[in-house]
Amino acid sequence: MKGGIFEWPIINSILVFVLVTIVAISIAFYIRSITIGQPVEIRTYSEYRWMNYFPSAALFYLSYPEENWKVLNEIALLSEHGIWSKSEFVNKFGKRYELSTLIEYIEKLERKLEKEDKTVFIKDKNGLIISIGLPKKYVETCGYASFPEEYPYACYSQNMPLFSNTSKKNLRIKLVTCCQDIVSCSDYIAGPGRSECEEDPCSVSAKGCKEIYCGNEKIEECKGRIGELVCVEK
Amino acid sequence: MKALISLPANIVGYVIALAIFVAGILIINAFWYQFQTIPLEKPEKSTACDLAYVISIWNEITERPNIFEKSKLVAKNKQNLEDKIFENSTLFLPGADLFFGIVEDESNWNYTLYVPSESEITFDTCKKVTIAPKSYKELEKTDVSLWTFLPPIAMYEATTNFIGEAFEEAREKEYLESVTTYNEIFGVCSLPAFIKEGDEIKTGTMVAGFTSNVATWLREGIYNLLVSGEKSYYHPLGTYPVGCLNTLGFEKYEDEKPQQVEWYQPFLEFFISPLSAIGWIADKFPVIYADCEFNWNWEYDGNKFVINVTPKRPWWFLGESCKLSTRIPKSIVEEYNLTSKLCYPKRTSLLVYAPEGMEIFGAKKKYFYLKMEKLDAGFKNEDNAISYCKTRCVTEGISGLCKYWCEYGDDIFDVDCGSMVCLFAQDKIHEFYRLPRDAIDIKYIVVEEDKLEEKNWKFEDIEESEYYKYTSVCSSWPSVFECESSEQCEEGKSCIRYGVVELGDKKGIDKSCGFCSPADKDKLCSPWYLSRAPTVTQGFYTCQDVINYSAPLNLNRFSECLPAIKVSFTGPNVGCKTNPKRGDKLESEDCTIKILDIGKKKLEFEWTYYLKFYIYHEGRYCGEKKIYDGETRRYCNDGCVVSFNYPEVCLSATRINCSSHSNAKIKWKINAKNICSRTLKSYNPTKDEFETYTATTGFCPKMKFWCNIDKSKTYYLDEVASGPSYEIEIEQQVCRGNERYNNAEKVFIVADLHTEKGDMRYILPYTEIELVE
Repeated sequence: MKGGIFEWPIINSILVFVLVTIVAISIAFYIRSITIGQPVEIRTYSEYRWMNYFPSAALFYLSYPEENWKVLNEIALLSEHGIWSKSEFVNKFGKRYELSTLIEYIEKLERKLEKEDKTVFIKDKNGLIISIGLPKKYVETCGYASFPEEYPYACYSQNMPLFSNTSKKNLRIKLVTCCQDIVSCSDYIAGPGRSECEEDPCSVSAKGCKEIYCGNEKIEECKGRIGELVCVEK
Repeated sequence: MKALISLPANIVGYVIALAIFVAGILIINAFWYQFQTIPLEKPEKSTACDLAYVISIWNEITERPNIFEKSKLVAKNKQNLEDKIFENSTLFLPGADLFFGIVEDESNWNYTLYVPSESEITFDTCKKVTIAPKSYKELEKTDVSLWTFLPPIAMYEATTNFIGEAFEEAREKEYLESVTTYNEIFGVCSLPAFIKEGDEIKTGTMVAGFTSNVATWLREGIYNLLVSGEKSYYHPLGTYPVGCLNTLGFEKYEDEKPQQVEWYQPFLEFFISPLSAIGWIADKFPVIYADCEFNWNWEYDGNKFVINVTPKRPWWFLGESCKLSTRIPKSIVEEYNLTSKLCYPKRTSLLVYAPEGMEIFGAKKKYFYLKMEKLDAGFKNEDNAISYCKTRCVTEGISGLCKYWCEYGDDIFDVDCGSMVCLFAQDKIHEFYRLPRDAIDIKYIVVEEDKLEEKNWKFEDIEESEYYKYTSVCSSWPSVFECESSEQCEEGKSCIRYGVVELGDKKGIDKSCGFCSPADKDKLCSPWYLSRAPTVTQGFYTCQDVINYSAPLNLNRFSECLPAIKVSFTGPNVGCKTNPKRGDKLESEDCTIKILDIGKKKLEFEWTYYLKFYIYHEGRYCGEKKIYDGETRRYCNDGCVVSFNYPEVCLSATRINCSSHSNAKIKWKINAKNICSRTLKSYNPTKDEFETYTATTGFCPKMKFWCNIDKSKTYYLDEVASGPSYEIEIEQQVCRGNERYNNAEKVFIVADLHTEKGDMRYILPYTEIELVE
C-alpha cells in the first residue's frame, strides 16, 4: 500500500489486460485488413430461404410445358456425359429433340435473372443439371460435383426426381442458380485484400472489371460513395 | 543467460498464460467480421418474405408453387382475400400494413393486394409529392412579403418512394424524410415469380412489403396499450408533420413567442382605417407560423374497425385529400373491447411559431410527437379526478373558470352548480370515475429541441409541464356517453348520467337521468361499474353518500350507486316497538319520534325531540319523515336511526356512553336478501297448490364486511358464507368496562365491494356508532 494503488496486484492485472487487449485488437484488425479485406455482407435469413426456394420454383416453371418435361426426361436418361453451353447443347441435341420451347423458357429465365447466355447443361450419370449464372469455364475447371455456396458464387440448387422403368436407379434433373447478386462489376466488393473485382469470377463483364477510388460523383458507381473503392467495368 | 534460466516457475507460467491470452484475443479479432456478419434482419422483412412465400404456394391462385395463374388471380375476390390474410393472419404487425404485388415482365399487367384493403388509399391519393406552391428549397430562402396574397404554404405529403423519385438529390430526399411524416415503404422483399396465362408461362416479379404512416402508428399505440399491456406509447412525427401548413402573422420584434395574428388582419384594418393599418404594420414584423392539425377519426360498423388520418389542406388547394387509412383486426376490437376504450376523435391543431426551415429570431427547433397512454397512467396522483378535470378544461378550450370549478373536487356537487362551465367540470369528474382504467388518451405534442437535449433525446423523460405545446385529440369516450333516453338509464347502461328515481309513491324514472350526488341520496340507481347491471327499477342499488375507507388518513365522502344493503343494529340505547299505533312515541336516550302513520310498507313519523346533546338541533325536524319497509334511515351526521321492518319500528341512538353502559356490545344485522335472492312460486299439480321457493337474482354483489376495531373477523356475502338468507350478524364489544374498547372513538362496519373496475371500500351507511366515556 505504501507505493499507492499501482502496487495493488489487481490494478496491475487490469492494466496489463487492457493494454494487451488494445494491442491485440489493433494487430488483428491490421492483419485482417491487409489479408482478407472488408467483411462480406451475407444474405439475410429470409432471402437465403428464398434462394433455396427459387430453384425449385424455376424447375416447376421449366418443366411445366409438356414438351419440355418430355425432352428433359429423355436427355436425362441418355448415357452420354458432358458439359455444354446453351448453344452447344442446341447443336448437340437440337436435331434429335424439339428444344425450341425449352430454350425459350430458359432464355426468359436468363433475362429475369440478368444472366443471358450463362446457362450450362451438364449431363452426368445421375441425370441432367441446368446451371444458370456460373461461368462454363468454372464448371469445366473446378468440376460440377459441388456448386460453391460462398461469395460471390452463392449457388443454390434443387432436384426434381425422375422415375423411370428403363433406368436401374432413380435419376434427377437439377437446377442451379449462381451469382444472382452479381450482375455487374459494381456488385463486387472492392477493397484491400479483395481480388473478386479484378478476377470477375461470375464473368459479368466481357471487358473485365477494375477497381477505382471515388474522388467525386462523376462516375455513376461513385454516387454516394465518395472516398470508397468501387468496382467498375474496364 | 543464467538469470533467464533461473526465472522462477511462476514467472514462466505467467508468460505462457499471457501468450495464450494474446493468441486468444488475436483469434477472436481475426474472426470478428464473421461474428459481425451474422444476419441481423428486421422482422418486417422476414415477415414480408413469409407473406410472399405463403401466397406463392397457395393453391387457390397458383398452378404450381410460385407459378401464379392469371385467371385465378383476376377472378379472386380481393376483398375476401385481404380480409382472410388480415383477420386471421399471424403476419399482423400493428405498426405496419402489408402490400403484395405481382408484375409481369413483358407487359404492364400487374396484380396488387393491400392488406388491409383500407391501406390502398395511401398509395392512391398520397403517391404524389405535394409541396405547394413552393418547394422546400424555395421556402428556405423565402423572402416573406407583406403583400403576398396567399401565405407561404409548405405541405409535404408522399410515399417515400415518390419522395425519392421527385428529388434526384439524395440530400433533398433525406431532408424531407427527416422533417416530415410520410407514408413509408419498408421491408420490401422482391422475388422472381412466374405467371401462367393459358398455356404460356411468363416471368415476373413478386413484391411484398410494408407501409407505415400516422394511421398505423395510432394502431400500434392501441395494440401496445391494450394487447401488450404497456402504460404509454409515443412516436416521433418529425419537425414538420403532415397536417402542418405555414401561415403568416405579424409581430413585434421583441416578442420571443408572439401571439398569432391572422394574416388578413392588416388588410382588414387597412380598409377600415388605412392610416392606423400602416402604423400597425410599421412596428411589426412578418413571421411564419405552422398551423399543425391532427385530424383523425375511427369508424366501426360492427365488422370493420377503420382508423383514418386526414391531413389539413389549404382552402384553395384543389387536389384530392391524402387520407391515411388502416384497420384493426376484429378479434382485437372485440377481445379488448376497443370501442369502449378508444376515445372519440377531436380535430385539433397547434400553432407553432417559427416552424421547420423558418427558424428566425433564434427560435428553437420544435419536434412533434404522438403520445398515447392509459388514463390511469396519465393521472397517478391522489387528486387524479381533479387533475383529469383540469386537463380536459385546458385541452377542450374551457380553461380559467373551468379549472376553478375543478378545484372544488368532490365538493363541486355541494355548491350551486348551475353554470354550463360548472356542469362541464362536474361531468368531467364523473367521467373520470366512469372511464375504464385502461381507456386510451391520445395527445399531439410539440417539444422544443433544448428540452430534448436536456433529457438526452429521451422524449419519455420529459414532463408534461415541459412541453412547448400539447393537446388531446380526444373529445370523449364511448363508455361514458350521456344517456340518450331514460330507457338507457333503466337498462343500467354505462352512460355518464344514469337514472335515479324517487322512492315510494313516486316510483318512476327521473327524467333528468342524473348522477348520484348528495342530493340523490337513497334514490334508486343502476351501477355504472358493472358490465351486467340490474336496472333502476329492480331496486337493488341506491345512491349512497358514503365515506371512503381506503384512505383512512384522508377520509373523503363520495356519492355512489351502491348495493342497497339493509342494516340494523341492537345494543344499548335501542328501543323497538312492535305494531305501534298512530300517535305512539319511541324514546331513546338521545331522541324521540312520534308515529304519524303506519302501514305495511310505509312508516311516517316526526322527530319530537332531537339530539339532546346538541342544542342547535333541538326542535328541528331533521331529514325526511317517511321510510319504507325493511329500511333504515339516518338523519344528519350524528344522532339517531329509525328502522322499520313491519311490524317492528326501532329507534337507536348512534352514540353509546360507556360510562353508563358498561361492557356494551353491538350486534349489527346486515341483510342483502332483497338483492341476492327472490321468492318464486310454482304450481304443484299433485298438491294442486302453489309452492314457494327461493332463487338467486344473479345480481348478488361480491362483498365482505368487518368491524373496524376487529379486522380478524371478516364476513363474506355469498350463499355459502351467509346462507340462503343472505343475512350477516356481526357482534362486537364496544366498551371494555366503562371505557371505550381499544380507545376507539367510533365503531362501524367496513364494506368491501369487489367490482370489475376495482374495489370500493367504504363505511357501510347506518352502522356508525360514536363512543363516549
